[in-house]
Amino acid sequence: MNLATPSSQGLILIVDDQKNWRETLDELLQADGHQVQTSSSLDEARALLLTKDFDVAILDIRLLDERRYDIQGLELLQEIKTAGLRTCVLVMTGYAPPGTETHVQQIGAEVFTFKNPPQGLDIVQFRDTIRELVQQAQMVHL
Amino acid sequence: MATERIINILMSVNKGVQRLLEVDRFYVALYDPVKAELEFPLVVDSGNMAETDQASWIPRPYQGHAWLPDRAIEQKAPLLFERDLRKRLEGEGIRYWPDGGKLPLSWLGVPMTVEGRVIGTLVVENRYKARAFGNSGVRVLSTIARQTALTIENVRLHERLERKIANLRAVNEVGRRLTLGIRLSEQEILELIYEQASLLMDTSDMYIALYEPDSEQPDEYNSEKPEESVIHGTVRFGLAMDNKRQVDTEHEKGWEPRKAGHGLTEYVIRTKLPYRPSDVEKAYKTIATEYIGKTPRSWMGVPMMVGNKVLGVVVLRNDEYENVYDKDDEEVLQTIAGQAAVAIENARLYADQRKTIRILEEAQDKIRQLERVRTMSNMAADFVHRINNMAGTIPIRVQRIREILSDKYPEARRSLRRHLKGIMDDTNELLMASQRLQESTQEIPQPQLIDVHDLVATIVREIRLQTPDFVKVYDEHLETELPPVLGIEAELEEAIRDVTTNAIEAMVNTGGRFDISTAYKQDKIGEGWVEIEVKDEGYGIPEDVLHNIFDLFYTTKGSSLGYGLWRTKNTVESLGGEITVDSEVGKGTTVHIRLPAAKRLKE
Repeated sequence: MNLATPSSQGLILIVDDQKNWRETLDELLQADGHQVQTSSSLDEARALLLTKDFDVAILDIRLLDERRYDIQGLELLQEIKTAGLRTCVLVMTGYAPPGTETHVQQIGAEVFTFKNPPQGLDIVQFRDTIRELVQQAQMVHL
Repeated sequence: MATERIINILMSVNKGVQRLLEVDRFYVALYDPVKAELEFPLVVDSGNMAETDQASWIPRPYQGHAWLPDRAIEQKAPLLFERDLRKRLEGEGIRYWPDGGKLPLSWLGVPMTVEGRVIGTLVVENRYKARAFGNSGVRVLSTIARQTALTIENVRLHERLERKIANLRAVNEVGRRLTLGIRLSEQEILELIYEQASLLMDTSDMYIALYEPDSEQPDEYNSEKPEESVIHGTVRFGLAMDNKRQVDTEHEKGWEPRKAGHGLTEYVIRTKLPYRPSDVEKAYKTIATEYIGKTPRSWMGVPMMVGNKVLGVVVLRNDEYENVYDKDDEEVLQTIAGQAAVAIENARLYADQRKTIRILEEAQDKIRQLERVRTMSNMAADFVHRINNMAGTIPIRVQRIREILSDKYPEARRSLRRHLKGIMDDTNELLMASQRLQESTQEIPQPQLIDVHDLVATIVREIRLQTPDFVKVYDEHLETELPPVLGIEAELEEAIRDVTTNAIEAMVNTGGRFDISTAYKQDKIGEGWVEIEVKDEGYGIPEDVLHNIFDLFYTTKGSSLGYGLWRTKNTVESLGGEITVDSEVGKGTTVHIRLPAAKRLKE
């Protein structure tokens, strides 16, 4: 990877406990030329973050499907930000109580989005956002 | 009334009289001092029994010294006329009886006396012969009279004993039927008492008054001078017979419920003792200023008591005679009244219990219904979550298919687009429907009664299982008799768990003592509160952030980003409760939750 010039193609981590989401986002982003790694759990994601320098991390909030109030994704977000990694974070969720978006941004996530309608994912915009985040991360890196 | 047994005795007395005396008419008069009446159970004329139901011989009022056989009773000594009967009667102003007959030449009456009491008189007459009896006749008839009196008295005692035994049996029967009748209504019990009392005594004039103390103004019983007790309750007539006629106590004037005043009935309620005045008129003048309709000649009232409580009074009245009730009647009525009181009390308790059971059953129904709604809404939430997860990626996949295929098969582009758009639209529709379902499941079900002790005990059991050994769990101050709290159990459980989890986690590194206690307390205005206190010896919360701890997403733990105390506070406050936290760095934290106790189930 040429680190000297910011490119719109980067190294991306997808953390989601749902296989179909990991798969589709992986395929979509690879199609756009990104390198993608996926992880289904908090621990696995931590390990990956230690070994690789990701441009963007896409984090689902609820990583334990059986726990209705699970927020492991936010723990990971805070760890990334506390550790001072340059990785930009996009948090996505199927459901969140009011106030979540503000909170997520306070912890330091670059972008927050819902997975589903009515505020759901706009694919075109999503791809643009990822591209922008990659650039942003690489600029920081410079 | 002379019984058959007494008439038989008198007939054998007659045989002796006929054998020993020159008599052509012999008759017996029995004296009833209570009714002041004479009856003639036996009349023998010229050796033949006379019909005692003909006009001359039916019972009649006692006339004292003014009439002839009556005078023998009055003077308690034999009375002998041997000649010139008419002249002597006229001279002393005595009237011969029976009317209309020819006056006899000889007349002898000897009173029958037992222990100084005159119970009647034997009379012998001779219409044809003067000096038929003489002094020897007086002696003979006196002996016969003495023996007859003794025999009659014995028979009467015997009959009274028999009646007492029969009464006892009947009273037992009342008791048995009342006990069997635990499901009888109060009115049915009153009717049963009336029916049973009727078997034992004259109940043509009877009423049962029920007494209900005032709920706000308690009665003031004076144990030294019971008649000076002051009562404030209400007297209601549960059942009344007036001269064999059933009174409509709901509508008839004079029988409507009344504030306890100064009737004889209230007198019995005040004294809690049976009352049987010998002079009813005087009783009405001195202690009763109110009475229903009339002044009876006899009155007897006994209280219906349960323990020391008066439930009412059973009253018998008689308009014709004075002192018709004796000690025996009083005892019988007292026994019946006692049994009635217990039966009424039981019926009331039973009715109360039925009511409570019904309320509980309704509450349970409601809870079951809510439980169903909750289950449904949990299932719906789960379903929504799954739909969102599974279908959420379809639009992305469609987008990719569109990109990949339309480049490769330009000729199929139009139909491809149409189909893909169809899939997109359908999926969006599905996701929107799911979203609406999700919103509707967020309408949280109605609150239910929560057994806080049960909940806390369950949580503590789990904590014991999951907590490492260096954290010591103490729960000896759990109040087992907590009133329920109204709310959604799962929410409250989550709230308490958040607090206990925080406390345990605060000690994971240091170890220490975990204390959980519950209590029921009443505040100054009498509102009940269920209190839960969770105490740890963890690292504590610095004073400057103590006021933030309930903010959304606030955490002291660094690793976890709980909705924790924010959610707890919301839950507690949604139940109308309060949560407070005391903490000192290095010493530990105490979280205090108080929840309003659900109002007790009332009628």
